[in-house]
Amino acid sequence: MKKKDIVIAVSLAIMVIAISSALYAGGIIIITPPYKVRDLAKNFLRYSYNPWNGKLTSYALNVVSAIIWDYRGLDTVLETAVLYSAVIGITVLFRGIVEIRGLKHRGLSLLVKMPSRIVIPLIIAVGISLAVHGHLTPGGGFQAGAVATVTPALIITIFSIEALYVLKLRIQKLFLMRTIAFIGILMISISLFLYSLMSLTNAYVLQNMIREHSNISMPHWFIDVPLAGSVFLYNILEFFTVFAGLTYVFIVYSMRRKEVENMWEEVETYE
Amino acid sequence: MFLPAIILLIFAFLSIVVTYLAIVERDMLVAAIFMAFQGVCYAIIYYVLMAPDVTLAYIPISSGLTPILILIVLKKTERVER
Repeated sequence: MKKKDIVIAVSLAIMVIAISSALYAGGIIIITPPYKVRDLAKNFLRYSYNPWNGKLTSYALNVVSAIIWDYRGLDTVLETAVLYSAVIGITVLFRGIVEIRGLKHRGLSLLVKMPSRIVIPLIIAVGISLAVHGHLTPGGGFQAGAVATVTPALIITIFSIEALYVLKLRIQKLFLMRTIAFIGILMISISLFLYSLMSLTNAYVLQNMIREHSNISMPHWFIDVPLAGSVFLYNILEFFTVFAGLTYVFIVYSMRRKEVENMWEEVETYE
Repeated sequence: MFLPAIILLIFAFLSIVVTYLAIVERDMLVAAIFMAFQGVCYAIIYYVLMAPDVTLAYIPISSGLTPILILIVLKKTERVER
């Protein structure tokens, strides 16, 4: 028994060091990319940020973001649709749940509660910065959403689900937020196309910057920072979609017995 | 020069050890912690292989969301596997 405790303690210590070193890029592990770049990588670098040729750029310093949301935008929009419909499946499975406030609850000890009160705002800040800086530094909408979802999950385990109700994070609200953000992604993808129909010019669906045969583009420069047009907007809306969707799943999964009881009656009347 | 390869080897080996511990462990709560640790090992391997985007997605999911989901499930069922 004692040996096991030592193993757990050592592995927890290594885990904390490992997480911090992985998050703090250039910390313990200093690795720089090689100076010689292959031709394929050169092509991607040229097409992601190339202000000298407006027709072959997306003004995103992060190459991955440029590929994900600009050159293969349809892929990512459909990926978001898959996540959206997966959460709809969970909604159908759990129909008939009611949120009941004031049930008996108890969280973890004060020793866990106090540090998490300090850590939780930091996690939210990291999530939002990943979403806003998605086109400049590594990160993006999905990563930001996943980081931000850790917050409600921690609140549920540490303070109990009752604390989320106090914060007014109801499931109806999350469902609405998710739907609005997803519709926003779809609207932005066709916004330039609709604009071109009104102004009698040419434009493509999912277009971001100026391309051949079409002269309209999203805003690509914010004072002195490249904004990458629709990549920025997509990142923020994807953040809301992922955050609301995953939080919804967590709230539904951690419902108490009394809240889920109604579910079976609903299912029986349906059958 | 050889630093990335050495780090990669160490964490790949560590992840195998931790995975073994997670499978052998009877207490599911401890097994969930080992699983999170294995996720961190993989995240560092991704970072060494120069995929920071994957690392950023992998850390919250593997060491944040999945263990918490397992904790919620354990609270509703039972903790020790028989």
